[in-house]
Amino acid sequence: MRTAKDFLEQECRNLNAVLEETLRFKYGLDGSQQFFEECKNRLIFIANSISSVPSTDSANLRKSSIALLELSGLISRIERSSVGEYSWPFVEELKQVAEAICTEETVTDRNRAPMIHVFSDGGLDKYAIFTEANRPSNAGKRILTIVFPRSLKHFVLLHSILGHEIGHAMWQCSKHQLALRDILNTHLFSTGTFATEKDAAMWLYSANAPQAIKDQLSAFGKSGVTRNNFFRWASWAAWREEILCDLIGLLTFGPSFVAAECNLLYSFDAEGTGIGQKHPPVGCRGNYLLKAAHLLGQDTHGLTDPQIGAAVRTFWDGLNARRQPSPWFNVFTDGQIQDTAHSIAALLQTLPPSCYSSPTEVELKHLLGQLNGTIPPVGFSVSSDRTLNCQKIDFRHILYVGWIKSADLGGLTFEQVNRLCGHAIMQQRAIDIELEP
Amino acid sequence: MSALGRSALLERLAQGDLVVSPLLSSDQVGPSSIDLRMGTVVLMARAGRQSHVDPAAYRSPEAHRGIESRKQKHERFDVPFRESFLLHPGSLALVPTLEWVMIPNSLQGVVTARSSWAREGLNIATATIINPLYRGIVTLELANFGEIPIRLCPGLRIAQLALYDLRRIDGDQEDIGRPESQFDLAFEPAAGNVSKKDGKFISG
Repeated sequence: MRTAKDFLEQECRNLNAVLEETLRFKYGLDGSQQFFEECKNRLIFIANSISSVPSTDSANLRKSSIALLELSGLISRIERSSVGEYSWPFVEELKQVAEAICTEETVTDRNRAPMIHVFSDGGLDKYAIFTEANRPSNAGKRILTIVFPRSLKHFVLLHSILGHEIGHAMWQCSKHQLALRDILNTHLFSTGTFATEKDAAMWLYSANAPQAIKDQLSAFGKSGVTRNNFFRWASWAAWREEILCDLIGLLTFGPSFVAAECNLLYSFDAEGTGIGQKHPPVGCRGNYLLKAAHLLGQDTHGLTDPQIGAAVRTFWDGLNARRQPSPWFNVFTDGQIQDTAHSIAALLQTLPPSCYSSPTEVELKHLLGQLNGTIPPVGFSVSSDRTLNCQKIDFRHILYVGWIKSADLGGLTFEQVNRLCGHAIMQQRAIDIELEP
Repeated sequence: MSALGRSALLERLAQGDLVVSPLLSSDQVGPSSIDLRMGTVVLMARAGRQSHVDPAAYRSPEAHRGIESRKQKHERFDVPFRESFLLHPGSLALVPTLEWVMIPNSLQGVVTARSSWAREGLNIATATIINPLYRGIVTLELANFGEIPIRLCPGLRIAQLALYDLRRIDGDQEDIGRPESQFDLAFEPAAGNVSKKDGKFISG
């Protein structure tokens, strides 16, 4: 009979073979060496831990088996990465934001950037960033695994939703969690609907809740979920984290995040009234985001050009049409949203290039003009005096004009607008390389 | 039909009816042509299960056989900037230009190799003409006619585009309208339909 220790030692050898097998493939944008070495080190550490304990030490063997399971999951994800299955130019930009936010302070290194691994999987609901909350103690770097839906390879406008996932990564980063917790407790959750679990449950079960909410709660009631135990069924911490992450998404990606989130969330929950164990109703999140975007001035540019002004208004009017009219969905005051947003923005500004800033009118006009002419919107123009001009453009501004164009497609399809913007992000990288000193 | 020189090319680019975007440096516009850079996708023709190119497979392009025939013909690689791929002797690869090109009604584009690359054995574009009103990337058909592999990197200038004025001798423009094209608004190379409208001549 093989002991648990025998079995785990065999699994270490199996995993080592799998790890070597992954080198058959070229994975990730930066090649395989870093991932291979990090995983190999972790595997050696786990194998040594197993061999150093007696086969009767079930507590330590259990700990090692969990570490081994996590490592095997990571290695199998690495094998599934293929650069042709997601938009690598978008990933290049996203990495800069994620690295800035998730760089950690360790005993030996004050700025230890995470490794970022990307793969694609499934469809609409697959956007995710796995943050590796628990790592073996010898782990060199955190490995962030970013997942894109395979079906949405060319839909870069929707990829802005990853701003929300970056929020989760930021929340789990020890460097920022304390500051974020402080901001939330001081501003967003100090009073009102989300101050305590009890307040939130009172609001959910209040008499002025929409009928669809009442119907769901009544159905939950048949399974024993009531106002008093609602947050034993749902996760109070997860609800609050979702709200924070929406705000971080808005502050990192700007209007394109609002558009992506409203489009994706309402595609799953057309009424916006679905109550989840891990998230509040979509309608609340949508209303809160639109209000935050307005309070941050993202929907007003002081535009003087009537054509651009009209296009921007059409975009925001379309989004605001998604706003839930019932005041029940407005769970925060303007002051709460404003104070929280400004405090988090101040934190993000110390982590460039993570904080979104609005484009100038000139930039907006130039990019939208290109897109209207079926040209990928990039920082390139030919002046009337025939000089060629190249300039840096923030990829989030390309996404924003893509969404503005999507509100009035003018003969193009949503897919074509996405592809023009995806192509533009690739071309802009070439421009940025050329502009390097 | 006359070729456009540098000043005419710049004039048309400034007017906006001719689009070649982005041009990363001013010397990309030469005396009578515009240099084109290699884009970031490579479709390598590969020897797979297919024994030959069969026009019959394209008669039902949306059926399983037609799709399989097109998809299995090439291996697709994304090659980000500052990475490279090797084009081996005798190999054929389809690559897009970095530039997005829009040709106005009054012009015709002709793509050719740059002579410095041609001297290394790199042959570019057997289908060289770009019709008026075309929009999209230009697909370059690369073949290595030399005896040693050639390393190619996205962003390198490997082709050139010359433009010819199609105006008639009386100065008027041909009114051609937007032609029906299987490659309009192309973002990357793709296999074309070799049997298009010629089905009556194909047996099997």
